[in-house]
Amino acid sequence: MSHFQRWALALTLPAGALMLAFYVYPILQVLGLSFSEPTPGLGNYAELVTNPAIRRVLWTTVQVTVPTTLITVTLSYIVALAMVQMAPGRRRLAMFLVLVPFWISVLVRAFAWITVLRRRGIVNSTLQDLGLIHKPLALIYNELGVVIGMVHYMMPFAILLLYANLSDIDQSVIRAARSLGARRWMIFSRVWLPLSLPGLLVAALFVVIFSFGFLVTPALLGAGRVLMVAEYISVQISNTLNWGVATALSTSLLVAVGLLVWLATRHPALRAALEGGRK
Amino acid sequence: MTFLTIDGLEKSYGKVRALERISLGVAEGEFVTLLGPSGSGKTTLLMSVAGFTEPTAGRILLGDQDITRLDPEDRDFGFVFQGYALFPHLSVADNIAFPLRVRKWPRARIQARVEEMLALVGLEAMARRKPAQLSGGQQQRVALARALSFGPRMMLLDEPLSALDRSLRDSMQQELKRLHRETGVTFLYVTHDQEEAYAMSDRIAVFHRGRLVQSGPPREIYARPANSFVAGFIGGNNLFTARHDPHSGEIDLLGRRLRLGHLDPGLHCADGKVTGWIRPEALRPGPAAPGELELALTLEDISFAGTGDRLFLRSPDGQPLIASQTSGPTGPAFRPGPITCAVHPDDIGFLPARQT
Ligand SMILES: Nc1ncnc2c1ncn2[C@@H]1O[C@H](COP(=O)(O)OP(=O)(O)O)[C@@H](O)[C@H]1O
Ligand SMILES: [Mg+2]
Repeated sequence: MSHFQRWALALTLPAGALMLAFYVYPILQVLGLSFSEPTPGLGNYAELVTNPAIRRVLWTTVQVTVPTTLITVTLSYIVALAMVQMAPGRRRLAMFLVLVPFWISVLVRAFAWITVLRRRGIVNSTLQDLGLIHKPLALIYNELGVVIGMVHYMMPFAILLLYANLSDIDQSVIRAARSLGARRWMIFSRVWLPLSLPGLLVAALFVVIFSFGFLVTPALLGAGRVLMVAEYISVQISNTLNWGVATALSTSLLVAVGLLVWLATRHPALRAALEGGRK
Repeated sequence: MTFLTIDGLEKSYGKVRALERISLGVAEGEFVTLLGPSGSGKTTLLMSVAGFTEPTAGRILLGDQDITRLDPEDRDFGFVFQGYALFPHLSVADNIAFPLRVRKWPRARIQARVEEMLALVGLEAMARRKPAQLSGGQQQRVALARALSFGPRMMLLDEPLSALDRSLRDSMQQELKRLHRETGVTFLYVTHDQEEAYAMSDRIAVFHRGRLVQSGPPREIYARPANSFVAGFIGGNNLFTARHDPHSGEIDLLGRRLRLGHLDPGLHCADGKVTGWIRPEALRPGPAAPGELELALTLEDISFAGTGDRLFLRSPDGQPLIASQTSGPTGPAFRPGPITCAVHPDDIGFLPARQT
């Protein structure tokens, strides 16, 4: 190791120490609690499998996550693909519009959706005024409302991820396809789509992982009726003080997410897309 | 009969005039090269012909069909890009089959054509590989095979050899010429390398700052450059200024006052200044033979150039000249200082005055 490398390594020590103190240590504590609270053993993990309330929560989480992921990734892909092909000026404007939601807190956004989607919100009253519906649609305080809120929250992230991936694709390859006679649909299905598949999978993985941790949006837009895993853990810790089950559930989630990421890194193209590097 | 007609083509990017009124005809089966330094507008012209760049003014005709506004995918031109632009996710065979699948050829016909193209470029053994598993030269062959596979009406190639090393470039030049000969397809080829252009072309069109400055067969470009840019940059000649006295018919040339019989009086400009050129190979150290012209020059430096030596000389009126010498293994027996050189008057050329 050179003198410089030793120095560089030394400079990372404070960051490493912070990680240990505020990240690794709490996680180890969570792990410890899951095996010891209230009685030592695997009891908490057994309960994860047997407790019907937890099973319902996990099922709800899947029911919300799957449509959220599919809708987010599809819509974001369309936006990102359009952005890659825009003239520079319009692309800057589009990028600005994508980034605007980042400046608005997730809480504010959830309340905004409530005013839009509730029984007497803009959507329902407009549809009723137009005579298209007679009774207000249940757009909120159910899984649909949660999915809408989560898709809205996730889209800017997914667009940025997909945009980075799509702009890595060599434009001269697209030109080559045109010069060889391919039209729009051909170019999309035979060139854009296969070349961006790794990026699409990584974006989907990202949305899934985020969905596991969603707390505010499901709580507000689901109003307690759509109980997802993160909210359930939070309730166990702060209301019912059931630390053992909560930490066991957290640990399982962590392992599940770790497993997903590990599976993704086993594929070279996916690993490249995850690391953001060029293939 | 012109096959491709470029008629008064212009392209501006804001204030930058990338192409200024380009007119050029290409005959069927011809190999025409657009030659010029970087930024001279070659790619812009090729992209306009391919349909990727919309010209600001002018027309492009194929036969008598106006294709100026036709989409690239409707032109049926084979385009070979500078960076090959192969589909990275497709095998060599699938890359070559791409334009055929687009055209909905029957499966058996596609397979037969792919095999034929692989044989044409000598890549039969590589059919299943991905582009990333090929060398630069092999990728280039795939790009050529892909562009030729569907029977293009014309081939457009943008500096296809510039990314290859020198030895590979030479063999690929031969291969390109062979492909041109065997397929009979018209080639419009772009390069900034004059030797490449000389070696391959039926005709060269020289570009300088968005203008077409001269077009003709390689030997004509070499022997009769139309202006100082073609004579100097493209031809690699020594350029010098001489003073011509129209009354006496005499000329002050590199420190000598002479009567040059073949100097066209139409060439000199008002102040009597003319630009001349001498080929470096024609300038020879040593006393003049009968009929040759002797010049008293100063040798400033010598550099070894592989095939020979380059002598850096200066004339009594201060103009730099270069002489190329083939030399034996011991090198030249010259020392910096005064030196006598000889040149045959026929090896001195003069440029038309208006265009210098
Ligand atoms: N898309 C573009 N926008 C602005 N200027 C361009 C663009 N493409 C080319 N140019 C300009 O046009 C001129 C010719 O470029 P180009 O045709 O690429 O030259 P060459 O291929 O001979 O190197 C250059 O001055 C270049 O900067
Ligand atoms: Mg170019």
